[in-house]
This record gives sequence, structure tokens and C-alpha cells, in this order.
Amino acid sequence: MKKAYADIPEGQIHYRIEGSGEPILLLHASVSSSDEYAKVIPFLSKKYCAIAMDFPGNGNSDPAPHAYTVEEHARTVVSFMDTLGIKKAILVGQHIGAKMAVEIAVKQPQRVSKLILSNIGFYPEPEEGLGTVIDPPNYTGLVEIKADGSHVMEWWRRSSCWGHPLDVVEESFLEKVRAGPRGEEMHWAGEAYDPRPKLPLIKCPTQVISATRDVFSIVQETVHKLIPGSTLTVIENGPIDIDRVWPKEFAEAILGFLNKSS
Amino acid sequence: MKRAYADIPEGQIFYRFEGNGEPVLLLHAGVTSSDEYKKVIPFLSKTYRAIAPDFLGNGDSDPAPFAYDIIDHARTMVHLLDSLGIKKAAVVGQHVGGKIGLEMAVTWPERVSKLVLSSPNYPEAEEEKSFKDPPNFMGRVELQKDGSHLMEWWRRSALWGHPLDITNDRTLEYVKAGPRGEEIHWAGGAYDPRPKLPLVKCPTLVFSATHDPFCSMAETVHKLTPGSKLIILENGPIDIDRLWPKEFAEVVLNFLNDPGSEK
Repeated sequence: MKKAYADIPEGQIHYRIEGSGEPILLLHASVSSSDEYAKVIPFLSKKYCAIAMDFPGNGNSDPAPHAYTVEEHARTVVSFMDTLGIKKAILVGQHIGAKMAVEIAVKQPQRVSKLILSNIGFYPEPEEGLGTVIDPPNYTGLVEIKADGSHVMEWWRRSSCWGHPLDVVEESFLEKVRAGPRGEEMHWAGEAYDPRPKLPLIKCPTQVISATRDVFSIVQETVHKLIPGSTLTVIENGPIDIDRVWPKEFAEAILGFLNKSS
Repeated sequence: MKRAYADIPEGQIFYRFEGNGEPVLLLHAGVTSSDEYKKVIPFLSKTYRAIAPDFLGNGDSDPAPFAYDIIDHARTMVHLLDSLGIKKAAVVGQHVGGKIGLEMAVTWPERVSKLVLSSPNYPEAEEEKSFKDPPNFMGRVELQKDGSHLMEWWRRSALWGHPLDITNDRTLEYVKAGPRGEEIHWAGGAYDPRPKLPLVKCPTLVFSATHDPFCSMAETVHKLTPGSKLIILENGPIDIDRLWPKEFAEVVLNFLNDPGSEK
């Protein structure tokens, strides 16, 4: 796997790339980076050209010029595809990354051949009877840099609250330090975007992946029903951050769908 | 300023670059990264092609395949020049970066046009030590479940009394380098530049700042390097390239523009 930069009009986008063939573009979750797909890519790159980019303000990409919305992030993804000369790609998105993928599939359907939405979220109203999505306490509040270094421990707390193995905690902590105090802008953009009105407009073959221990697992059935002809793949006992924590199972779910729908 | 990766036989080297003209390679100190030169580069890039890489195992470069010594790191820098199609460059090195630059100048003299050693140091006998490292500054730090390793990295970053943003940048570098980060400090500590200095053939500037703990060694380094220039900046801090980027760049530019070699 190689790392590289692409110069797009908005700045420099950092990405990881491996393999050749049909492009499959992997979009990461909030306050994260392409690193979350580092263990997924080797499974996909046997058959595809797997590319994972860092959104502006995350990982090693340039900061966003202002707090980007989901729509603005989606635009940078298309700019990135333009720079790499990719006309059409399979899009994979995790959490907020799946919202960018929906946005592109609906607004620029000619750029998306297939869509894979992993644990895409929304916050249901009580009357919908789906239950409540419970984020950990103070999970997405602003963290400022403090002279005593306590902000570092706050980022560590947020990274370790899912009970992941230590190396995964360290990776996800590093993402928060890299993104810095502006990092949470991406979470806020995700919270402000309700994908439900867009889902019925999706025209390409779509897979909805649900990891049953993900906080958004309760809404996946609804997502699936809203997307005409979509495939729902449930990964029993699958954790949040499934692409980092269960890379093999995650990649197998995707490859299973791509094989069947081709 | 742009960021990029170069593919060398040992892996991927991350670097920052800006400007055109004669290439100037900027080599960072121990457990830091090219980030330390980000405010220096804009001064140099007006007239030079400034390139600041991350050593393997530091910043965003790939990890070193094993604990590298100074010569291993110097070799990767020559491979970086190869990969960028650069035959010869001026080399500027801060602390351990100066040792790596020195090794390049001595082992690959055809690749180094001019050399700047910023606060170089050498191992002193215990009884004559002019500088003692801060307590437990270079011990290995293991990841801990409670995150206490982060406070240790914060402590090491904060003990120089730098502004908060610089302390935070330094901590990020420790986190990126991880438990293996200190290997480059150990490599620096194990390398005595004194036998190599008389072999330097290119114009050389020895440069230090009075608040750098290694300042007192600059005179000896200067005397051992034939025809070298010596500049000491009064009241200049440690990490001078981060803290006084303008003054640092001026000293480097004056020397590069007019190395005044007596050789």
C-alpha cells in the first residue's frame, strides 16, 4: 500500500492506494482518516484499485477552509476523483463517510457505479419506535488545547470509550490529535445531515451494512427499506468501527455483495 | 508549501517542499519531523528549492525496518536525493539531523555542496558534562491502557517552556513516532561526530544559540571542521528553527548565498 497526495482546488488531499482494476473509493468516519481502512485495503486490492482518502481537516489532508458540511465534503470527493482521473467508482462509506457517498450518488449518479453504506446514521424521533441512538457522554464537544495537557487525556477518553484493543485506541487517538480542536466539526456536520430524504433517490446497486453492536444498528432496517432494491447485510455482534476492528469480516461482506451484483 | 511522499528502497519518505533553484535539504532533530521547519521554509523558498523530509520512524514517513544508526539514516537521505533526481544539495541539520548531514558530507561528499550544523553535539565524559539531559528524557515509553504514556510525552514536550502550540506539535510527533520513537535519540547519542569533522571538504557553517544546551560544544566542532564558519546567536533558544524561524533562516541564507569557503 502506498500513501500519496493529490492536489485538488481546495488543497492537498492525502490518500492510500493499492491494487489495479475498477476503482473502489473508501470514505472514512468522523475525526478519523484513511488509516481506518489500512487493514481492509489488502483484501480489496486483490481485485480492485482500492483508494482511501482523508477528508479535509482529518488525517494528513489540508484543513478545510471553514467548517464543511456533508455536501461540501462530498464536493471535495468529486474533485479528488477528477484529479485522479476517476470517472466512476464504487463508493464505500463508514458512518459520516456514508453520508458523503449518498450525497454523491444522488447528485452525481454518473460518478457512482455501486454504493456500500456501512452503519450510516440518523437520530430517530421517539414516535418512530426505533429506540434511541446513545452516544457516549460528551463525545463530540469542542476540545481546546490546554497548558497542562489535559486535552490529550480527553481525546484518549473518547478514543478508549468503545473498549477497543489498545492498538486501535492508539490509532483512533492519533486521529484526534492530528485533527486538533477543529476535528469535531466533522461530527457536527454529520449530526446536521439527515440522509432519509435522499435515500429513495439512489439509483445504483446499494448495500447496507449493519454491525449489530454499532450505535446506529437500530436504524439500518429503515435505511434498507428507504433505498429501492438495496441489499441488507447484517454482521452479527459486529463492533462499532467495524472496518478497523473486524477488517476481514468487513471486506468479505463488501466482496460478497460486489461479486453477487456484478 | 506542498507535502508529498518519495518512494525509496527502504519505504516511503514524507517531505514538505517549496520553491525552485539550488536544493536545500533540511534535516530535523530527534523524535520530531519536517514540521519543525514549516516556518523556516517560506524564507528559504524565495531563492532556493527547500525540501524537508521526515526520517524513517518519525513524522509521517514509514517506520524504519530496525533501529537505525546515523549512517542508516544518512543513506536514506541519499536515496531520497536519488528519488528526487537531485545530484547535489546544501544540507542543513538540527541536532541529530546535523549528525546525519555530517555523515552524508563525509561518506557521500559528491552529494553535499554546503553543510550547516545547527547546535551539533558530541558525547561528553560523565565528569566533564556541560549539559545534563532532563530527567528520563530518552527512555522508552510504552503504550498504557489508561493513556498515561500520553502525559509522559506531553511532559517531555512541555519541559522546554515553549509556547502551547509548539508543545502540542511536539506531542503529536511523539505520538506519531510511538514507543520506537526514542531510537533516533539513542542513535544520535551513540554517534561521536568528532573523528568525522576533519574529513569534511565542503563549506561548513557551525551554528548555535546561547540557550541551546549544546551551545558550549559549537566551538570545538568549529575547530575540528577545517575552514568552517562559527555563528552563535545571543539568547537564541533550543529548537531555534521552530521558535526563531526568521533569525534561523537569515543565518542559513547568509551562509548559502556567500559560504566564503577558504578551501
